[in-house]
Amino acid sequence: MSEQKFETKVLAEIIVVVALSGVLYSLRPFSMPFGGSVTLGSMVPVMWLALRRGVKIGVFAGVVFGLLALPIDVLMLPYSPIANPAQVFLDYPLAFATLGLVGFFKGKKGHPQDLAEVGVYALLSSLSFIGAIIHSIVWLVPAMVFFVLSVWGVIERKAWQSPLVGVAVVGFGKFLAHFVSGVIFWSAYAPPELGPYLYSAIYNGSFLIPEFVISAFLVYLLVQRGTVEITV
Amino acid sequence: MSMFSGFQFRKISTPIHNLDPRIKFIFVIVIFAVAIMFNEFLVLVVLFFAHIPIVLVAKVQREWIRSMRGAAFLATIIFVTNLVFSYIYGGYQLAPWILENAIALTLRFVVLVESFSIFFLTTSPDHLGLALEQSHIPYEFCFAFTTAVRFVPVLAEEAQTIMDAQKARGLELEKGNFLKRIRNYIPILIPLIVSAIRRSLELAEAMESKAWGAIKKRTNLYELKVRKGDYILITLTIVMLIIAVYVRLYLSIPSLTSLISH
Repeated sequence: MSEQKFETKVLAEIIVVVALSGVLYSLRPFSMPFGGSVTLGSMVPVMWLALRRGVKIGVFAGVVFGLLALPIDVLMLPYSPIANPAQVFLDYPLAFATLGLVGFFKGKKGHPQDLAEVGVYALLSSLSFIGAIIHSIVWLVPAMVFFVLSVWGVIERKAWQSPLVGVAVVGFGKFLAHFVSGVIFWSAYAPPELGPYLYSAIYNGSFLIPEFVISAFLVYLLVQRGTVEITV
Repeated sequence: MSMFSGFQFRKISTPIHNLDPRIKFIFVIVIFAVAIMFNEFLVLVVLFFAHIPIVLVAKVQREWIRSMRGAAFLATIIFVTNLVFSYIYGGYQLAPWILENAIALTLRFVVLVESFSIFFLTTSPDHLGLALEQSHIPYEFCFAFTTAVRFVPVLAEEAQTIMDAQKARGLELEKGNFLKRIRNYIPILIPLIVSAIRRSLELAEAMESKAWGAIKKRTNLYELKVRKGDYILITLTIVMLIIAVYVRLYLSIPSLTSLISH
């Protein structure tokens, strides 16, 4: 067998936190026809662990959570979230592994009020970027402008270490994984007039944006209350 | 909690449950490939009904019917969109082959749902973990996965208790605007995390007291062995794949519409 990678205590923490995420993952007020749903902050415990123990452990926990999320989706939802083995890899282990990346952002700075403006720029930038993909290349100009503005806003406020930025990065990474899988594997279900790109962006955005807004707020509150360093 | 009944895997011993999960997985992948290869109604109907004996042998009819009932909604959507679009693109004519085509595409979706749900309904988490381990995936990972699966019902009960306790103390979850509601969620989330961490210490102690990680080379009490049933299944799978490829390449399958009209 392989070398032992973690302390027993850390491994036990990973297991319990992933199970907690699994519980929250199955409490869902709203879910989408082909999988993907707005849950009660199911990403939060894993992201919290990533902030507490670092990126490597966060990514490990994310992959385990992804594998746990698959049978939950299969058993709880009345439909199949599976279209293809490669799609399963993209939508589950890979998409959930991105949750660990939040471990890079351990700073204390960056209040939501400061970041609201940055968030608006980032949103406008990504919308224009989607416009560039589906409509015309001209949209790249506003996309770049808003992107620079949002990056500048983060640097200016020295807030790039904020967990909120981390949650945004994770949200983008997870969106990317689901978006690619949507374009490649789920395009058969897209209404013809939408086309695969717009369909995938709308489908995945519709549940990931509320999900990550909720997660960002919860992670922020958890960090503010100092729960990341708790020892019991 | 009924919601988590899916995790309380019913441990029954049937020929299907005792099959090697790796072989079952290959079988599911092949069913998937065959369903993708064919657009023809007749083949997909055969694939659909081929699952029924498996369900009956595995004695998971009730769960199977539940998942089929759930798939019905989405299947209806797929059917209607297909029908409407081919009706519009076909110049507003409702030919029988349009109907057949729409039914075939819907059936393909149903077959995919069917085979995957049978796989998960008949494979216990233990078996899945064992299969992962024997496919040379790091043991920490398999252990984390199988143990997390077992912890889900326990923590779900605890989450319910904490929610009830906080509600009894006057926490109102369904009140206020969006931000207020999320903020109200914190008094549930923090106790949950704290109790989870506490539980993780207990788990760590239990693991250490059983000398977790002390031995480099682990052995298992139960080993997955490829038995007679597995050989039969893998042979059936290969035969099915060969026939499917042969039929696809060299034969043309008549559509139901043409069979009826001749």
